[in-house]
Parts: sequence; C-alpha cells; structure tokens
Amino acid sequence: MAAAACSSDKLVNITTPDVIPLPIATDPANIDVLKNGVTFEFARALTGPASNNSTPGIVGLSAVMTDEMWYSSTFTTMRDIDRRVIDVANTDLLHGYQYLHRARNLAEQAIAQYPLTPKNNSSDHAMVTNLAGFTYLFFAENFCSGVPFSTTSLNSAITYGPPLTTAQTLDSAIARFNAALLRATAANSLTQKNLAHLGLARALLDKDNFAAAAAEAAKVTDGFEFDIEYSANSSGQQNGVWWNNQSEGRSSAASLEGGNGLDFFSRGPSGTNTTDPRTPADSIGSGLGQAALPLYAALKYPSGDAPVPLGTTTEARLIQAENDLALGTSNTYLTTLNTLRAGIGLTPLVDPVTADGRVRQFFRERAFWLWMTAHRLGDLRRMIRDYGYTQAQVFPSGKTIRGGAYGTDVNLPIPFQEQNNPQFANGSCIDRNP
Amino acid sequence: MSKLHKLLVIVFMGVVSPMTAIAQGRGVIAGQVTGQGGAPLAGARVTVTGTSLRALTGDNGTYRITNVPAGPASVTAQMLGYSPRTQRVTVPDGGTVTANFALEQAPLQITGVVVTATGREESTREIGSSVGHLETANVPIAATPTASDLLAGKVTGVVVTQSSGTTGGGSRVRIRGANSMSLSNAPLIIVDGIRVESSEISLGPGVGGQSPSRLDDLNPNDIESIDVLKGPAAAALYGTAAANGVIQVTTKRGQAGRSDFRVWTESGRLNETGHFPNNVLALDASGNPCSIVLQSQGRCTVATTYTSNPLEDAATSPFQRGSRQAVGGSVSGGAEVATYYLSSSYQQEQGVLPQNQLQRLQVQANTTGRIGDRLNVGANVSYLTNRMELPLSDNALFGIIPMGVYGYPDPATIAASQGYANDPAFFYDWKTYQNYARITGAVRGEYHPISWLSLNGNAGVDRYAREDRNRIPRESPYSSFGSVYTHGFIDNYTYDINDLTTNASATGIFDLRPGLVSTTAVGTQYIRENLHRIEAFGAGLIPGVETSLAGATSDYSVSEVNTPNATLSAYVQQQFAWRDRLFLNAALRTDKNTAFGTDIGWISYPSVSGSWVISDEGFFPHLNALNSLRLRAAYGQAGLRPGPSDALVSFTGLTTTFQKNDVGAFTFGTNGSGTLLGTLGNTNLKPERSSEWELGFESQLFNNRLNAELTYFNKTSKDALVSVPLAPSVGSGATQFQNLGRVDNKGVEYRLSGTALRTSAWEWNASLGGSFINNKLVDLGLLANGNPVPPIIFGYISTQRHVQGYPLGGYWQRPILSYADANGDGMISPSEITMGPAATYLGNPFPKREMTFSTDLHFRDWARISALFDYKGGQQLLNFTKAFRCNVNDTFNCPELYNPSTPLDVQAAIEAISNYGSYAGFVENADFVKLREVALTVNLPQTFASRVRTQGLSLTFAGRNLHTWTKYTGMDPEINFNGQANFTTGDAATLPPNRLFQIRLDANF
Repeated sequence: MAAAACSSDKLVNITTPDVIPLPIATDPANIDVLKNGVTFEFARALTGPASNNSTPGIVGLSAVMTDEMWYSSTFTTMRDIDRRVIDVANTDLLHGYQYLHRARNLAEQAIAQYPLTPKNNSSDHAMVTNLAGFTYLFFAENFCSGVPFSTTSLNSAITYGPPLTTAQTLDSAIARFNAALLRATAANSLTQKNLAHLGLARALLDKDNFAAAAAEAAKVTDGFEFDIEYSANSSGQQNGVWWNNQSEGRSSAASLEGGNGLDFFSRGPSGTNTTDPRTPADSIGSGLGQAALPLYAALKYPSGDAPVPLGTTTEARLIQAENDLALGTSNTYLTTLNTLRAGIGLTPLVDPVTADGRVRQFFRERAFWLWMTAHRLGDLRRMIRDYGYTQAQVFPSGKTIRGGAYGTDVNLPIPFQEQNNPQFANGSCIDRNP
Repeated sequence: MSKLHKLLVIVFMGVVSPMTAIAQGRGVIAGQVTGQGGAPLAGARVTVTGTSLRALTGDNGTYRITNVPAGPASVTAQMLGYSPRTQRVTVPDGGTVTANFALEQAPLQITGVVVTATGREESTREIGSSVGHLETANVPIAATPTASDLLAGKVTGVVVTQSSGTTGGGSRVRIRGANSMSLSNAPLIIVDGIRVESSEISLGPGVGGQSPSRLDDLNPNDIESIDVLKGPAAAALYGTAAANGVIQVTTKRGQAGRSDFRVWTESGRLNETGHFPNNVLALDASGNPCSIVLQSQGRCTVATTYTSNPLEDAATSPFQRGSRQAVGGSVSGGAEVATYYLSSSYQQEQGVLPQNQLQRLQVQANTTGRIGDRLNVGANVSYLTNRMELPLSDNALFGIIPMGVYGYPDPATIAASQGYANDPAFFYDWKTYQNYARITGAVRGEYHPISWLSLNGNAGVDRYAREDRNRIPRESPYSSFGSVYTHGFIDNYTYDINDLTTNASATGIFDLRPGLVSTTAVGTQYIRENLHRIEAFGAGLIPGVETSLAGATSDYSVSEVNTPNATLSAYVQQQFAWRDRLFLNAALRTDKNTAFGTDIGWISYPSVSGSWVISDEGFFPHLNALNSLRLRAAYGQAGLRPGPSDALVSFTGLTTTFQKNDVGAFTFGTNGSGTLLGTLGNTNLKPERSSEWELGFESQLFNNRLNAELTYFNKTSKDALVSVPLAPSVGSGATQFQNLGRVDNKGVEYRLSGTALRTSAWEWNASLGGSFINNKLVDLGLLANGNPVPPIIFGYISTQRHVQGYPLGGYWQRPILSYADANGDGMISPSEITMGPAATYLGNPFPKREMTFSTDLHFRDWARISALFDYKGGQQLLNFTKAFRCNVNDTFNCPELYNPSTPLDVQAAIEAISNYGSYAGFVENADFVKLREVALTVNLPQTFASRVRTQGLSLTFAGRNLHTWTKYTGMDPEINFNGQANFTTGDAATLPPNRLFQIRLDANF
C-alpha cells in the first residue's frame, strides 16, 4: 500500500493515445504535417466541413447571402443569413467566423515555425503565407469593419488582438502577400508568385485602387490556377459546398433569387437547367425537409473531391478589365471579357453604352466566371461602395423563396462570442457599411 | 506526494499492519424479532453496526449471527412498516448473547441501516445527514418497470424526469438541483460497493434526441434497497465524483434457511397519449398562405382551407399499441456458512412506434460465506444482454413525429407523402440499434482479526461491450440525397467500457469509557475507468451485404476515442458515540485524478456531522404526541472532475489533401473529424468543489402514527468549471474550461407520513413529501482582463442561458412587453405588439417545487391498493413544436395562424416569433400533476395457492402515467427533445410518455 501511495503518479497519470502531445506538434521536423494542418483548416474555412448540417464555409456563406444560393432546409440560422437578417448570436455565423480564424491562426503559427526548419523560404512556406493573406482578404470582403485578430501560439498562449478596420485588414493581407512573394521568389515557385500577385491585386481592388490592382494582376502569367483540394477519402476531406448542396440538399444553387438575382441557369426540370457553361446546374428535387423548396445542384462542384479555385488567370484578367471599365465610363473592358468568353466558345458581348449597363454587364460576367468562389458578396458590396448602387438594387430583395421579406444586411457581423476578447472594447462592428 | 496524503497513508499502515496478526475470540448474537402483540416477524433484517454481519429472521422471527467479534457490539433490527430498534450487547468469547427485539409499527423509520463509503453498514441514527432510503419490497414493481421509474417520486429532493415515451429512452435524475454548468449533473451510481458506468446519455449515433440511460440497466426485481446520499454533506467520502449525490444500490441476497423459489411474469400494454394537432393551410386564390394578419391587412382572402392530421388519421398514423412482457425467477437460501441468491429474467417491449423495441436478458448471482470464524466473504455477478431499436424522433428531420407535425395538408403533399413533410418511408428505412452485453462482478471480504478491528476490502469491475449502429438499406428514398445515401450506409460505433473499483479499509471500535465509543476508519480506494470507442462508416452497400460494413464500397471513415481516467484516494473517518444517542463524525478524503491539471496535486474533501436522538435523553419529556425526535447537522465537501482531456494541451490528427495525395495533418484540438471546434487545454484545471451544510430532524408523533421529517440544505459549488467561450479570433479552441464560477442550491425537503387508519383488517397509510429548491448562478467569474464572463448562451435555437444572478439554464428571449388590438379588428398585427429591446429571463426548465403524495390501503394480507401522485411546479418549457408550426417563416401549418378567433395572446406569440424572432410567447408554464402509479395487489387465498403447488400467489394490476393535469398546451409538460441533456430542454416533436397498464403474477415455492 505504501508503495502504491509513493507511486501514485504512475497510477493516475494515464496517457490518452488519441491526441498529439505538444512536443510532437512543435518539433521542427514535423513542419510538413503542420503545413498540412494549414491546408486542412483553409479548405474547411473555404467550404465548411462535409458533415450533417454543417456551416458551409465562406464560399457558402457568401453564396447564400447573395444570389448564388438559397437555403433549402429547416435551420433558422442559415435561413436568416439567406434573408440577410443576421444576429450576432447566429451559430452559423459563429462557425464560419471560427473556421476562418483557425485557418488564419494556424497559418500564422506555421509561418513562424518555418524559420526553425530547413524549409525556410520554401514554396510551402510561401504557400502558407499566401493562405494567411487570403484569410485576411475573406474577412475584409465578407465581414463588417472591426474584426479583431488574435493569436494562439502552438503552446496555447493566447495573445488578444484589437479590431481592425476593413482597410487595415486589407493592409494585413497585403503584408502577407508581399511576404509570400519574397518567399516564392526565393523558392523560385511560379505558382506561389502568381498566387501572391493575384492576392495583392484582389486586395488592392478591394481598397478601390484599380490601377495598382491591375498592375499586380498583369504579373499573373497565363494558364495559372491554384486550387484548394478536396478528397473523397473521408467525409472530413470533402468539398463542403458540394456536401451542403448535393449530398444533403440544405443549400440550393440559385437563379433569379429575389428581385435582383442573376439568371445563372434556367429554373426548369432536370436536364434543361444549364444555360451557361460557367454555371452548370441541374434540378435534383426539393430541399432537405422542405418539399416546397426547389433544389438545384451546382455542377461546378459535381463531386465531393471537386477542387475550389482560389486564384486563376481569369480573375487576374477580370481585375485588369475592371480598371479598363473606369467606373463605367469606358468600354475597353469588353475586349478582355470577350477574349475570355471566346476561350470557352461564348458569343461576344456588345457595349450596353450606359454606365449602368456596362457596370452591370461587367459584374454579371465576374459573377459567372467566379461563381461560388467567395467573390460575390464582396462584389455586391463594391457595387454599392464604388459604383453608387443601393443594397436593394444589387442584393436579392423583395420576397424570399419562402415568402418572407429580405433584410438589409450587406455583410456578416462579428459573433457576440468575440466580446470575450479584452481588446474588443466596443463589442461590435465599427460599422456595417458595404 | 503531499504531507497530508503521506499522513493518511501512515495512519492507515499504522492501524492495519501491526494488528492483523493479533487473534481475538468470536461469539454469536441470536434472538427473536417480534411485532404487534408479540407475533414473530419473518424477514426482518438484523445487522451488527460497523460490520457487514447481518441476518434475516426466519418464519418464527428468530435469527442468529455468528462470527461476531467478542466484546461490545451494537445490533439493529429493522423491517418495513416498523420502527427499527438498536441494542448494545456484549458478545462473549465462544458464547452466545441474546438480543430480542419488539418492533413497533411505524410508517417511517427514524433509524435504519445504510451502506457507507467505507463498505460498512451504519445505523442512520449515527449519521448527521439526510439519507434517502427506498426498499423495493414496499414498491409495486409492476408499476415501475425501470430503475428510473423505481426512483421517481420516492425520495425527497430527487427529481426524476422522463424525457419521452420512447421505449429504451432514459430519464434525467437530479438530486438537490444542478451544480455544474459544464459537467454532468447526474449522480454517481454504486452497486454493491462498486462504481458502475452511469452515463445518462448513452448512444453514439443521433436519433434526434432520445437515448438510453445506464441507470436503467439495473433490474428493479434484483434490487433490495436504494440509499440516496443527496449531496456533499453525506457523500464527502466518495470524493471527486460525488458532488451530484450518490445512488447506492444493494442487490438482493439469500438468507440462511430453506431454499426460496420465486417466479413472476408480467404482461402489459403501452398506449400513446399524445393528441397531435391538425395541420392547416389556408390559401388565397393565388395559392399563397393567407394568415389572419394578412387577412386583417386586406392583403388576401381565404379561398381554400386544407386540414389533415397524418399522425392521428388511422390510415396514415404510425402508432400502434405497444406491449411489454417479462418473466423471471429466483432461488435463494443457504446455511449459516453460506447463502446464495440467483435470479434470471427476460423482458421484451414493443414501443408505440414500429421502429422501437427492446429485448433484455439478465442474470444475477450473489453469494456470501464464512471461512473460519474471522473471515466473511461475498461475491456477486450480474450479466445483462440487451438489444434495442430506437426510432428517429424529436429533432430528427425524418422522424415520423416531426414529419407529421410539420407536414402540409394540401393535395400535392397528401399525394406525395400522405401529408407528412417528407416521404414517411424515410422514417421506416432508417434503423438505429443498440446491442450490448454488460457484466458486473465483485468480491468482498471482511476480516476480524481482533474484537475491535475489522478489515474490509472489495474489488469489482463493471464492463460492457456495446455496438450502436445506424443503417439505411441499399434501395431507399434516401438515395435522392446525394452520394452518401445512394445505396445505403452503415455507421457503426463499438464501445468497450470498463470501470474497475478497489477498496480497502480498516475500522477500529473502542470503548473509550463507559458510554463513549470511538470508531475509527481509514481506507484507500483506486478507481480506473476507460471508454474505448471506434466509429466506422461506409456507404454504397453491395446487394446482399446490406447489414454489414463488409458490404460498404465508398465513403469510408473511421475514428477512435480513448478516455482513460484514474482516481487514487485515501481517507480517514472518526466517530464518537455517546450512550448511543449522540454521534459526532469527522472525515477527510484526499484524491488524485488523471483529469486534474498537471499543476494540481492532491485535493482534499473534509466532512463533519452530528446526530442527536434527543428523545432518548432522560430529560426529554415522554409525550404521546411526540414519541421520538432526532436532530442532525452535517457539513461536507465533494467534487466533480473535469473531462478526461480538458486539461491537456494537445493537437488532433486529421487527414487532408495536398497535391492530390491524402496526407496526415495536425491542428489545434477538434471534436469529431474536424466538424466541431474543440476545447483549448488548461493545465491549471481543478475539480469543481461543492460544499454543503444541512440541518434537519425526524420525529415520530401521536403514538408513532405520524412521522415528520424536515431538512434544510445549502450547497455551494465553487471553482465551477465554466466552459468559457473563447473569443473566436484566437483561432484555436472554441472554449476553454476554467475554474471560475459559483453555483448555489438552497432548499428544504419535507415529508409527513402517517397511518390514518389501522384496524385488525384495514390499514391506510399516506405520505406527503417534497422539496423546494432555489438554484442560482452566483458568479460566472472574470475574464483575464477583469471583465465578467459574458452569459453562456446555448439550448435549442439559443433560447437558454447561464446568467449570473439567475438559475442555471433559464429561458431568455426578447419579451413581449404588450400587445393590443388597437384597430379593433380582432387581430394582432406586427405594429400592435411591443417587444422588449433585449432578452430577459422567462423562467426555468427545472422544477423549483416537487411534491409527491402516495397512499396505500391494505386489507388484511389479502389486498393492497396504492397510488402515487407526482407534482412538479415552478418550471417552464419551450413549446418549439408549436412555435415552428406557427412561424410564418417556417412551417406555417398551425390552425391558430389562420383562425380569426385565435386568442390575442397566441396571436402576439405568433407575431413575436414571425417578425421579431422571439420565442417568448412559446415558453409556457409547465407545472403538472401526474397520477404516476396505481397498483392493486391481491394475494390469492392460501388454499388456492396450495392447489397449484405454491406457497403463495399474488396478482398485481398496475398502471403508470395514467393522467396529467397541466396548463401546458403542448404534448406533455415533462418531455425533452434532447433526452437527458444537462440543461438543454424543449418540446420539439417529442413522443409523450406512454400510459402503461400491466398485470403481474408472483408465485413462491
């Protein structure tokens, strides 16, 4: 008995074999596994986890809040995002916000870990730096101004961060893309250099600096595409947009949603829906638990392992074209648009002549090219911010597909749980401006 | 090792080691127990206090206890319906001392015997705390088919809430309120001294809400008695696990004498009791819903009204008459050197839904024996095999009840799905099973090397292997929902759960001086628990291999969970007894546990108590109006440990895809396969510590015809584990456990019981007992920056909160401040309702008051009829079913939405949910009174019994959940869509508890 008492620690200190202890996670020799963790977190933040009633990630949140998707199931939290009445206690809002911060933080921790390893300034180092930049970009484009950015180190030490304005958030993204560019250059990685240039261009566009954005976009080489990958290996690796849309039927691809929704496809019977190769769709019945709500598959993601393009040459050219648009005062943008259309066999567009016509035509093209890639919400906000439209003129408005009324939110608020951040003094968004 | 723990170990070794070799004589205590008029009482229990020595009286009321250490001893005789008596005797070495008892009839016992944490039996008159005691012999088992039913309404301060009418579903058990925001508030369960797995929610795959509770694995037919230690004041010696109270179960044992054969059989019927509302859809000429609000605004006119009720319509209703059959038997007996008890039973139950059934086989064996004249040993083993099928329900999209109450009555829906929200084939295709085998076994020994010392030890294990399985067949309507469901799937959870308990203690009893007895106990305990779970998923089932994962061809997934935990403890207890009427106790237990943070060492739990049978004092007046009085007071502490990995700073391994390859990854802790965000570890975690003091008395009045019992308790849980929601921007865990909060539970428990009528032929007893409780979150703690932790929001649709200054888990919503039909059109429009600006407290889903009234009437030994009424008050329930049906943004199929005569308050509730997102109008008063049990037992005449070659035959007619009185407008005020969840409570398409009618036949040979 005395012996047992003296060795009490042995009796109660039992190892749990399911988790990874801290020394393993922080071992520089395991940097590749940590990098893989970053890609996991980023992929989840982008489309959400592929599991029952999961939040669809930033692609899905952007899509449901705009005219790309309508919510087709029973949960009121996603329904509220669809109709743009979003409470700070909305749990789907919380999950999307958490996923994005986890991806950002783990990327930041990996960035800090790389200099301790032989893979410092490698293409992987550049990649995680780019991914960190995109997380800031997604916050700026989709959330209100005033999102705080804190960190948790690998040894669980928390450092709370203050809220940043949208402009400051974009500056943070730009800083990451610039750092990624240096690392990609050092590693001689054309892919990561392109991704960094595109990220810079997108951030500058969001800062309304059209010329600088176009200049960065011009550096993106032809034929570039960087995808976030998914796999059918397990449900945790599948594309969450596909899962929500086609596996569970909780979100439907939308066409002509509300008063302003674009006609991405035809809302007819199965087999008759696709009207544009960029937005393939098919009628697949009704929403989950909502027999009255039509359900359309977004065939851009036809399977659980369908990748999501994070950056493409097409987007770079669109950014250049928007500079040519010159807020609707020029029609030179059409050259670029028609070149892109010709590449997939689409007929050329004609100049609508009016500024309103040109802007709407341009953003329609962006919407089709960048369908369901977490661009649409940012674009609609820019149409309000840069081009003078009202929210009621660009967002779905009037009567929802369920019969209720749309609200007026144009971005995602900050979940109330962020009030546990001592640096988040005012406890809410700095503003809810577009 | 701390100094304190070293001291305890040294004391233990010092007491035990040198004395084990000292020999001492033994003797016998024998006598007779008689009742009214000197009639011998058969079956009375006689125990030697401070030991496990005991005997039951035979047919002539005599007993004989051998192997009693020579010297002074305290002997107690007790029997149901009689007031126990205790005598002090001196046992001669090698001789026999006689102790006869003449017991007086009394419906309530002022003293009895309970099993303590040290393994010894103590007279309750020695214990300073209130201990609930239940003898199954006094309960109509036919009306209580589960252990939860057995407890419900029987012990004051113990609230048992039946979550639903699902066969195999569990009940939520709370003793003196909820202590913890974050950890389970379910009590600890000890069976014959062994800790057993006691999860209240025990199901891997989700079925929408209802799940089994492991308490119901216990067979009421094999239980002899249950002692309920209600809180830390009584349960301190159980340490880190006992803050929620302890349910101690003692199983039946044999008695020396001839073999006693018993058989019984039960046959019952279960009736579904819900009255499901009609689904209504009133449309205008364009086919749009035309609610009364739109009508009042002149925006539509009803052109067509459709009504259906697929759950009530005989052609489409899924309900059937449930049934229950059970059969069992036992044999017990033995001699002075050994006794035995062996039983077996089988039961099957078919629920009121076709997807809901249960089959259970149980075997129980208990033995006791004597080796030499100093060693008593015992062993028991129980085996249970169970097969259960559970239906989708509650919050499951394809549960037949949610599909029914959220369905539409329009012709298109009727044609497509019989008026259900979806094809009802979904419900029938989805299969959920729970199959398991459980074995619990223990050995125990008591050694008396010298007269004043006894050494107790026991060791036991509770282990079960369980398989929970979801599957849908290859050909199913589910295939319309994408690839995972195409051609079916199987989701399989296998569990290997085991709890190991070892106890060792030494007790020394000394006569310090005439009238003053000292009892010292020291002991140690080691408990090791482990849950091992493997989940495997596969889809795309091959034809012909549709019930095995061997047939899966796609979407493979596998995960493993291990949650090992160990507790090492040492304790010391000291009691002084003065003239067997004044008892003072003090104890200290110290624990070390796996789940404590790495910076935390041993945790100690002290307790003190006093008991004074003041009516035994010479100065106490001898009055017919006041026959006996015991005063008691107790203070103690107990704990609740954190979860197994809450203190760990660790990472989770996952799979991701990189450059077309599936590769390993790690990230901050997650729950599940990356679906949920996990808890960030905290190396400073300590257990929650609950301290409690209580004061009370018991008395017998008016010639022992009336008994009164009153207890005031005050329980405070400090270092309460708060699952602090981390600011999401930290980018790691969603929450982190911190020892921050404080929760208070204060209340009063009372019981009045008496014999209203006693003649030679008739006896009528009645009992009224209950409790009041005030639960309050006193402090939610401070964040690192000194700001208060904000309220914790949870529950269905975020309707519940933990808010400082309010009861835990209360309902909070924006209130409806006022409403008025300003324009006099008889309808409330959105502009005619005023909402509060912020959420306010609307009530508590847990009862503040509970009361039971039980009565029984005996006619000779021929018949007994009993009834139990169960009241719970001061509670609210979220009627989500109605809210979801009436919300114009959701289902909009409730009749109230379209009926211009709908009361204005209901209209206001509908407007509040439809336009302001507030469920305030659907948080309803859920007070109720239930006629919980009625039973009539008829003992058939001996001549008839003899004719069928039995010694006795009895027939019982029993009913359960026979009627409910309530103002609640939903299905039932007691139900919870989330089963036995710690706090989350609501009515969401939940099956109400069934009405049970049952016949039982008992025979003994």
